[in-house]
Amino acid sequence: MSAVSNTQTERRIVFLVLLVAVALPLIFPIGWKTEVSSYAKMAWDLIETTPDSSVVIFSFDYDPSTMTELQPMAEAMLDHAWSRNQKVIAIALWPQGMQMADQAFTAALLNYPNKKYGEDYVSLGYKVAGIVAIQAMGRSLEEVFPADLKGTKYADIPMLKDIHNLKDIAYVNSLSSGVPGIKEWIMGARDISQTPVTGGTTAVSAPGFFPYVNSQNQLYGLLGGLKAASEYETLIGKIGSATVKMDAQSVAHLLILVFILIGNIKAFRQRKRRQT
Amino acid sequence: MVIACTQAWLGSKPFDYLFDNAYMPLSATMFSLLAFFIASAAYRAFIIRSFESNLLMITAVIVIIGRTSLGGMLTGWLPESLKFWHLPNLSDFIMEFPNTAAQRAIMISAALGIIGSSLRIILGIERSYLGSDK
Repeated sequence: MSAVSNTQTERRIVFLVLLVAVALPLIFPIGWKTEVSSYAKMAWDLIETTPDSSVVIFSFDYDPSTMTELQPMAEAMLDHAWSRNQKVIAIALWPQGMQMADQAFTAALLNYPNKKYGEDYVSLGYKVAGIVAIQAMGRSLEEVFPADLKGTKYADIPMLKDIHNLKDIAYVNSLSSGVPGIKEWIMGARDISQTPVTGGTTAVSAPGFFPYVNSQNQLYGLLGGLKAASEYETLIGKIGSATVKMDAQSVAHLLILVFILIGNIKAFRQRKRRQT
Repeated sequence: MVIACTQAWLGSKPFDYLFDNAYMPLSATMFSLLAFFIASAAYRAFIIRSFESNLLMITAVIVIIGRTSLGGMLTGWLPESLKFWHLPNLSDFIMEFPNTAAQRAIMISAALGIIGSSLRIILGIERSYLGSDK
């Protein structure tokens, strides 16, 4: 067998083993427990300590490609906000964000069937322009969103009666998988309007946001990836999709370590053979 | 007739139907392929060759195990005085200090680079964008 076909065969074996390793824990959950990190606890603290009836913004700045990681976060944080009786404004800086918001509301409404549209939550829709739109929200929310998704005028929505700009918002929760997202909210809402910002992002993007979790509280905690979503579910005492998916991710991580080990043994043997 | 049948099949919101049943699973599938490529790349490329690659490997292994549920269980038996060596804590330490320091350095360097480039353009030193080689 040639070297090229050897590599191809190895790659196919790697793909197949990974597929089985990810699928099995999803079919037969293991139930491993996740330890809560300080970043997830900080985000939880912000929502927990925000007074009842406060109006908050959930910004859905992602699309279906990253929903595996971000949707469980959105659902868990929405559940937490509603358990504290906070009123949620859903907006999106990404075109497909509102569909993600709809799914999150549908999931959360199963636990809170008494929540009413317009009084407890509202979908203001997608707005183009990223940080420029956020800066405009700092001046007037009504100018940026004259009506909600259903066409109801801003002034006619009961929960927005006393909400004029970002200064009236208790906190912004940005669930983001790129630009525009958390960074734009920090620059536009936290640094200009002093509105606290928290959020969640994919595991691969999280290291880039850690510098913002600092003594100035530019970012109140951060949920990074599926593990953090699972930590948040632990904090609110619910077993959601992140907890179930975390088993599969843990097994996949361990398998990757095994692959690294095998790869190194193979390379070491090749090097030895070349020397002799 | 065809239009009526298609509309009945897609429901009253055909774009929502397409979004839920075509766009969403296809997008998620494309992103999921990343896991397979990472596994394959880790097997072929993550080889110890020098001191630096050794250091990178050790750090990666700690972070990978620390970011799993199993990591907590592996070193959960450690006494309180040795809690720093608990894998999730060690992983958090790496992310919080060396990683954050490096990220800050990258951000500051990029900002200084942008200022430098801007000044060169403003002062007329940098003219290559106008077609000049000098």
